Amino acid sequence: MLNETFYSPGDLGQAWSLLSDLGDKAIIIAGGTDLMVRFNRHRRKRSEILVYVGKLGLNVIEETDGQMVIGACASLADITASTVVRQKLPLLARACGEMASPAVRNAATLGGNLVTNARTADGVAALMALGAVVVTASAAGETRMPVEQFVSTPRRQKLANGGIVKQFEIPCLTADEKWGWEKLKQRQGDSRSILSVSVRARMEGDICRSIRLVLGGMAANPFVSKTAVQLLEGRPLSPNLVDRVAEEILSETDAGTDARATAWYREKAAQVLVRRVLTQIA
Amino acid sequence: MPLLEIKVNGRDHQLVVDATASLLTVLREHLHITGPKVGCETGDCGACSVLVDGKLRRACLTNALSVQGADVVTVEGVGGSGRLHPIQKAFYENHASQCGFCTPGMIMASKALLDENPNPTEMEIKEALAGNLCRCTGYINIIRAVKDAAEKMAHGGGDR
Repeated sequence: MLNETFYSPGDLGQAWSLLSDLGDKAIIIAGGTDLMVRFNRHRRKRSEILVYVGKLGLNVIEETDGQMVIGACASLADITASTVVRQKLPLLARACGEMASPAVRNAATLGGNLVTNARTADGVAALMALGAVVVTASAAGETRMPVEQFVSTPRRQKLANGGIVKQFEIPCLTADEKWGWEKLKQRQGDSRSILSVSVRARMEGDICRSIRLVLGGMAANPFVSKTAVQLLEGRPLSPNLVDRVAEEILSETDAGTDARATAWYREKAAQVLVRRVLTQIA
Repeated sequence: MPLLEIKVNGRDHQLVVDATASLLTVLREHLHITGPKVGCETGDCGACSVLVDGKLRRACLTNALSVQGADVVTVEGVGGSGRLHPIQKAFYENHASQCGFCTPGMIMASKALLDENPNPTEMEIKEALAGNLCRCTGYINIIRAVKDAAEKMAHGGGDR
């Protein structure tokens, strides 16, 4: 009989069983940096029961055979400080290191950034650009899906039967790959994105062989640009082509106006940042 | 209701808390430790900063039960009985406090920095304090105080 209001399972088996039994009543909490804002403002509904997933050992950060595994509960601070992440996935280290403030990064998790998935979630944008795969785990087994698919899949479907986000699997950068990261923010430290542009590309001389360019803050979720793929793959990265991508990429965006910036400003700034990251990889 | 066991400033406590209670609520309302301030409660201002197992955390965004068994240090715990920590002394001597509301958080963020990096550059100090807001515009003196504390602690000015 489940009669507590807070559970802290010690292993994945316990967590699946609890989450499966609790169904919609379960509120999964890890770092708490998003969820606690809600609880500071509103009382918990009587039916809601918290399940803390910070004791499940999901904070691994390790590289094996060119693939990085990062646990869903790895903190942004640990990812930023990790030598292996800085060497093999500098884009992710940079994006995580520019999120929030040191105290928040000590608690906030990469899995939490994915699950809350704000319009401007920098971690999600970086993961998408890197081609990361999300591993969800439930009693029925593990499921793998690209980050962009996870983001667009309904929660009931992707986290069915007590499933939780377990880890990310990310191919490490190879010698012929380049990366770029630009984040527009209101001030240097502790600032949410107005928008971000991240890129991972394979170059052969000045020819772009493959590219994943992601815009954050320019639509409901960060997204991988199809325009960049269509215009750049197989072609030399000339200044004219870079300008064309920066112009045409706006056909994919749905920028909004909020307290941080107007849609008009976001569109102008996005073009500048796209040019900047493409120049970085040229 | 769930039971929380926690050590704060060297003292063990056992208390019954709500599932969603923040560490800040536990510190201030259950234990009457009021150094950590209630500012924004969204993690933006840094006035509630404390150390949890040596790491800087926002008490307002920390679910109390998620830090079951932790060792928490607030501004009340950084100095000794009737004795200021070198960082507190440097804040006092450099006029790094005006209204004082942000000061407990500033001191905890400075302590977290100097515990890890005893000789920070000015940029590292700014980065470490980026999440702590002072609305009296006292940043210059705060940065000066952290530099001063680092120097004095490096020369045996009473590291703790």
